[in-house]
Amino acid sequence: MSRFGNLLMSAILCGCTYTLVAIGYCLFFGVLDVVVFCCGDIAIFGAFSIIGAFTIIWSAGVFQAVPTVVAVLILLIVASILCAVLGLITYRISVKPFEKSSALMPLLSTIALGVVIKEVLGLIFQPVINSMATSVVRVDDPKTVVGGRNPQSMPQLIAAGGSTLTRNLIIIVVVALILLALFFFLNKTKLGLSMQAISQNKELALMTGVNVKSAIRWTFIIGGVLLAIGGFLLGNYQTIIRFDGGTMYGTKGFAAAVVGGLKSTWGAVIGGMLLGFVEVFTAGLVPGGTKFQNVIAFIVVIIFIVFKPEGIIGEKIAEKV
Amino acid sequence: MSEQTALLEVNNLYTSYGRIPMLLDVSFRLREGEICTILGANGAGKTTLVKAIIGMVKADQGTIQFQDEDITSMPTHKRIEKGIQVAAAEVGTFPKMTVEKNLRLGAYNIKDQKLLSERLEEAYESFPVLKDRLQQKAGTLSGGERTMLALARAYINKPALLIMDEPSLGLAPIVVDEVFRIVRRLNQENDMSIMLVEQNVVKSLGVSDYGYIIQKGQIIFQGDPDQIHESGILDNPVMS
Amino acid sequence: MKKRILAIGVTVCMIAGMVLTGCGGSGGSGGSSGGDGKVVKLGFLSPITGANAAEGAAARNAFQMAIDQANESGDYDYKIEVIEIDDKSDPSTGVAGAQKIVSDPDVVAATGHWNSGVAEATIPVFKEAEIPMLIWGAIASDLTSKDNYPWITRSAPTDVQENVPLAKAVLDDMGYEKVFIISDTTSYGQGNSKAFKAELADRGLKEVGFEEVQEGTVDFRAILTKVKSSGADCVYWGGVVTEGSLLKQQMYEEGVNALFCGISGNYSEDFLKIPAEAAEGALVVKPGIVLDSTEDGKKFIEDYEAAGFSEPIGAYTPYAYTAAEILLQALKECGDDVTPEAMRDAIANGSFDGIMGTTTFDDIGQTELVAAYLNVVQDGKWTVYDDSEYADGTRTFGGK
Repeated sequence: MSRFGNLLMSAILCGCTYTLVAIGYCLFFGVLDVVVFCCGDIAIFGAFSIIGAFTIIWSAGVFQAVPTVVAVLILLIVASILCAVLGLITYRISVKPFEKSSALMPLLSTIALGVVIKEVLGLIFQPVINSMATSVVRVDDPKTVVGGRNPQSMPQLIAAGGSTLTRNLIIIVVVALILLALFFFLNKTKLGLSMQAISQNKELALMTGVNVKSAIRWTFIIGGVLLAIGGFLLGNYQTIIRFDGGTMYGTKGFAAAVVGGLKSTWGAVIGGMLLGFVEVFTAGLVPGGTKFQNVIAFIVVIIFIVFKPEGIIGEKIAEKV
Repeated sequence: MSEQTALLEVNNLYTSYGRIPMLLDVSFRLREGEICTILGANGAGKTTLVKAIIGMVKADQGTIQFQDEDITSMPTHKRIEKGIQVAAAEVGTFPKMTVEKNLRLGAYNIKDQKLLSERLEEAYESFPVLKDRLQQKAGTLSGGERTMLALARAYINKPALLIMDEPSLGLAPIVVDEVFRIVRRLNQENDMSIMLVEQNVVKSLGVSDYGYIIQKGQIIFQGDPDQIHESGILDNPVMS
Repeated sequence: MKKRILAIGVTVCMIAGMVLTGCGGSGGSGGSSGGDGKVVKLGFLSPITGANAAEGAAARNAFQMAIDQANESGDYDYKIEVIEIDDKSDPSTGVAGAQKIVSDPDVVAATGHWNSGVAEATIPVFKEAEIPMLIWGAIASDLTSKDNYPWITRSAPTDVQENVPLAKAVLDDMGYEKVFIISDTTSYGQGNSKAFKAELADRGLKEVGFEEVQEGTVDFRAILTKVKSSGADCVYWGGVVTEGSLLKQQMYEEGVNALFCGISGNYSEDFLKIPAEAAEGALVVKPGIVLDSTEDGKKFIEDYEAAGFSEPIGAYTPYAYTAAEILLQALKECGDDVTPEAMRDAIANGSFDGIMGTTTFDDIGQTELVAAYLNVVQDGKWTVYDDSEYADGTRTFGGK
């Protein structure tokens, strides 16, 4: 591939990872009007769930016994369930108790929860998983999965043994499919529509007969699953996962969501891609630009906040009474 | 009229916002098929009463009965399923959705697609203003159109009880007349029981069968429109 | 009531203080009364217990072994004694130990520390007491400086100095010329990139590209497109293994045809967590010597093993032995007039032969001897370069 092609591929992949986290922010912000800041950490937790589940089912001999696709699906289901539960816990312990207080409280408490998730992953993931796994785990190429605290290497589950191009394309296609599914879900299903309704007018949604409480719970479940898949793709793209990586993804994902308009899913996609493109092209084309890539990315974010505070997709609709 | 069965019965209702009491010992009855008006000034507790009836505000004491069933501790969406709808222009619309989508979403509890299309057609006939604006985003409607949309949204559900929270608020007089015409028509043609919560005394008593006057969270007078007019209670400057 | 508690507290503290100083005093007198005639004392500090006990205790063994050998040889008119301090890798314990050493009038020099943090804490103590201290194992680059010279010298090379032998191998012996430098933005990374740039400049070369990344970076792909278009045949990584292994893996995945090299921060089992074919051919320099490759080294191993120590030889054990060799030769230089001042000058200006080569010190007291050897990843394992298939030409690095 040409140099430009390479950069384009990196930018899209980088954008994909930010997009998935950004969508998490959008969903949660949509139904609750609060920023749930531990989205990045939930995604990282998802990736660690995959590693943990993989290690366990590999040493139990299950992974080798079934076709890889089935095994990967099992892993994804396990991680999705764990992340959905974590999503619910997030809602229950660090959002719901502050329903009636200022929006700063859940912001602070979800930041705190993010730190807890991060530190717990860093401190107890290794010993717990190592005690459950009976053998050192290797996948097709000799690659120890368990060992070292940070970074943690991710089992190569997408296009194992294949070329990186195949893997990258699969990741992009999966992200595209997730976006399509999400679009369908939000616009065609009752739950999706009620989530949109809550996002646009919570009081009216209540009056319309939407079960708001259950819709919020479902949002956290769906958000959790989405972030689990996000963590899985992220890990496979990077080949490793850092337990403390969630903070960075959280911040970037949040920035992408803000650029896109916070309540708009498509805005999150555009915001994520924008951030990915700015970062990668700064690092790839400007000589010595790598150390400035985050600076420039966030300058772009600030410019957007200043000149288009409602977001790229966000529409200025002032509803006067 | 008093021998007719009560559709909605509120008994000794108390609510509060934090530590501030909002409703104090409110009791009233709404009989099937009638239009009943709750009159009161701004901040008298009208909207709180509406929210208490549909469960958006918790009752501290007292009971709410709907169709002879105690709904005091039922969650909002269950009460809506039972057949109560609120049309409140102040609450607004789903601004980023088209008018059509607003209506479809409003019919949240209608699962039968055929029935839904029928009801939508009916709504377009009853509210012709909306028909031309189906693909327009609700956030771009005018105040009158928005009130119509709120009414139409509630109407689609053919509720047993339609609560209208200040439908005349902020509208031009000619539009207000139109709104009250629709209110009367809904009551007469569709047999809908209507609870009208208003500040506009003349217009609302003009269409009502019975009225309550609420002040500082308490019902201070009740009777049919003539009795209310005769009582002279409306001359009280607080009510103007 | 409160006053009484206070009084009891003060009394307890005083008694405890007396007991402690009493012990210290008797220990000291016991030490000095051990020998006949004149005694010269050297201080030795290392973490003998605690997290770094393995390195610290082995170093102590080697140091003591060298002193014992000197005492037995009869070359000295006096008995050399060692005041051994366990700094527990803890700065305050280290300072207490340093104070014990400098308060003994027979002490003429000291050598100490495996931990840079502990060394940083004790350096002021030795400077103030005017006792020369030779650092044998701590490698943070700022320990030796103009301010600390000549009282503080160091026989261990700093991490940044490892760039010298690496540059010699890569640029002179292997002939790479188009080097792309990548480092992290920490002082460690910046120190390395600066040092390697200086090496390039000494040879009239200039790096073909230079990028700095934040610590924790996981995606190097954008930089790698730059590397490719720069035509680099060698990528120098100035950071540590965490990011280094990822960089190497992504170089492999993106098909970058260039040598990957770096300093000892990359020499870790963690580097081998990436797939073997991705790690293959990573070249990393490691300080020290391959002991059994020289006669002196072989003798050292034999002596050490014959002494029957319970701790095996560690990476820094030869450095402690070298420090002893330097101090012993400095003592000889001083002749009969063994004072801290004489030792200071003897150490700073001398040239000392030892198992790792000939040590001399530069104008801030930093050793100019950088004993180091190359390691390469071969089939998923770290292999000494000279023993690898790369040295005999069976395999070749990228970029050639």
